[in-house]
Amino acid sequence: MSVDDKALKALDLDSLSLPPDPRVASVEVADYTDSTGEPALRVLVTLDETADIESLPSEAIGQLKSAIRASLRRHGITVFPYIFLAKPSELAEADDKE
Amino acid sequence: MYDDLLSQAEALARLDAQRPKQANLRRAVSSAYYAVFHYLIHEACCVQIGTQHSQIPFRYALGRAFTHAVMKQACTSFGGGTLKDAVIKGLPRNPLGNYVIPTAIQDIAATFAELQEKRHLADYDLTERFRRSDVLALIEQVRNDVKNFATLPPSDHKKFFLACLWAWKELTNR
Repeated sequence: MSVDDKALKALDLDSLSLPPDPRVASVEVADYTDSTGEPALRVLVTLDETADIESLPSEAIGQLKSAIRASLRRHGITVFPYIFLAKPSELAEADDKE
Repeated sequence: MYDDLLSQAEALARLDAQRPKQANLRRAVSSAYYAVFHYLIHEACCVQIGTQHSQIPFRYALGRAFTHAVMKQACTSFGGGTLKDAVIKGLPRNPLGNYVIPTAIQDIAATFAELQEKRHLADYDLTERFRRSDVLALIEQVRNDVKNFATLPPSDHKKFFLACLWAWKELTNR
């Protein structure tokens, strides 16, 4: 099983144990090489559009990212995951000009 | 310095009520990174030199020895939850044979590594698009991680992590 397959399994939303807030719509993962040339993962967490980052308890985001890192470790993945968050509306803006 | 940089990051991330300008989000990421960068260097220098006001010149002088690359290498390992055997050789282990990294250390290390990567993208990669949700979450993470790290009681684990921020390269090359 390649690292990619293990990562996909580790981050499958149905089996991933995430905190209730913020609500997560999807998790995508891709191989990544970081700025120092190290192999890594790039994880995109798409939040529910209604998620309000500013009203979350201060530890909520840390718990979400810790759960992702822990699941990857449990599946034997040792490369570092860089985790990005976005709402669907923010992703839809991606190709617009500023 | 840490407080001011984090406040600056938050102010920049909240500008532009409707649609945030990429320039503001990029500078917010950079300020948040430098907030935690200077916080960790301050903590490490306090362990090495001391915390007295009169010792500030020595802390500042030592602080110039820290490098982004070495700190990131150390934080990627601590944040990943496992350290190489060469690094933890001889250190106390749990019954399963693992060196257990306290959660507050893992969290601030992971946040540092993530922020340094995003700071690099923010400063150099115009193909990368930053989202306000991600930037505000990072700022809140820094605030929470620093609070938890600051309240972690003094311990050899804490001092070892802070020393690894400057000694990592030599430790991993043995």
